[in-house]
Amino acid sequence: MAERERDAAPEREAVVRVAATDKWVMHRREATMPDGRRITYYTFQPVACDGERADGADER
Amino acid sequence: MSELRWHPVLREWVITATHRQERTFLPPPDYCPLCPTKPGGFATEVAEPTYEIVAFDNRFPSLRRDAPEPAVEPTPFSPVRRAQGVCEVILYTPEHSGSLTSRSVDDIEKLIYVWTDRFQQLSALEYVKYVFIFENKGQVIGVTIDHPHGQIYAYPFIPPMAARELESARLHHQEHGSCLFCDLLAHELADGRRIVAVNESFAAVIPFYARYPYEVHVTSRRHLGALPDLTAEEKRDLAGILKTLLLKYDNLWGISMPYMMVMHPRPSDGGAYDYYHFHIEFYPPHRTRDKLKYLAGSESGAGVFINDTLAELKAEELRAAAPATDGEGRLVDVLPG
Repeated sequence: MAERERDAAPEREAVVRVAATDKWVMHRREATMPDGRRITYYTFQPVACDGERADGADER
Repeated sequence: MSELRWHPVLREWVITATHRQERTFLPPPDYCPLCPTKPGGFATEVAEPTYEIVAFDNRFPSLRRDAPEPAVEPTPFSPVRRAQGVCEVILYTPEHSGSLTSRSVDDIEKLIYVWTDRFQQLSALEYVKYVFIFENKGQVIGVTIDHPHGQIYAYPFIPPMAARELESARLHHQEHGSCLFCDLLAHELADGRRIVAVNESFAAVIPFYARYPYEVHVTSRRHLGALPDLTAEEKRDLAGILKTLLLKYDNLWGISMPYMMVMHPRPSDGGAYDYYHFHIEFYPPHRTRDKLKYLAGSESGAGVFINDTLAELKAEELRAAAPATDGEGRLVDVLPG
């Protein structure tokens, strides 16, 4: 039973940049709960006033 | 234990999920499983002291990624399948009180990006054919945990309601060469009597054929099939019209209006559905402040809804509720937060 989701296993626990607006950058972090279920945390990092992302990446 | 049992008379799948009888039922706020885990406190579903937006696999799912083989043999008339799919919970906020209505437009916009990502992530699973994003709000709907949250069911089949809409859209496109939903929306905007709110990208309308008194459909003004097709501006406009509608619902009678919010996107089975049109439907169960619309004999047994109200009058009530909108659905009140 080859499932596509299993191919993505190495990315789990990694923080992935998903989207950005002129206000924030959205990141996704996947983790495994103690009973084996999946949980995904989404965070939104504000964009610095000079147009650069607060994480240092230039989104322009 | 859960499995899919085929209903040979209605020709649709029924999900059995006996373990859900044991699910959490209206816990006190201090023991909410959807709040963050406080230092030294009991372990909730989220093992972090705080969070922004979280999605996780439901502890009591109807569909499982690793669904077991069915525990029963099929009958000659009713095939049985594994209930393979995904049931996720989406937590809108770490704050226990409030609702989607009390989130700011900025917060709702962020949630739309999360919904979009979940739609894409779940659509990529080979066994998922339809990603259904929804929210049940209010105990009268059957909500068992008050913390603001929604859900996603990633089905291994196209559910009956979506299938009927798809077939109607396909037939309309075949007959008229145009999108059924675009044509319906153009008619509603030209008529005007059932409009609740509009902005550049979306319209909120009680359809001519509404089944619930305050049933509102939020439809994109541009023809598109699912959340990933939205531009950044359209996502922002969707957040704005959702906030407007939710405030109107709550301000109509000064209560936190219960509802079912359901998204109808194109299927995720790899097929071509260019004739279909993304929209969101709201079904509040109230027909007055103190009376509910029940799905009784005609609705449940015959599939025939009886609406005791007129869409034109209900739309007028919602337009007048704050933030007020004019006869063309444009805001005349300032939209809070």
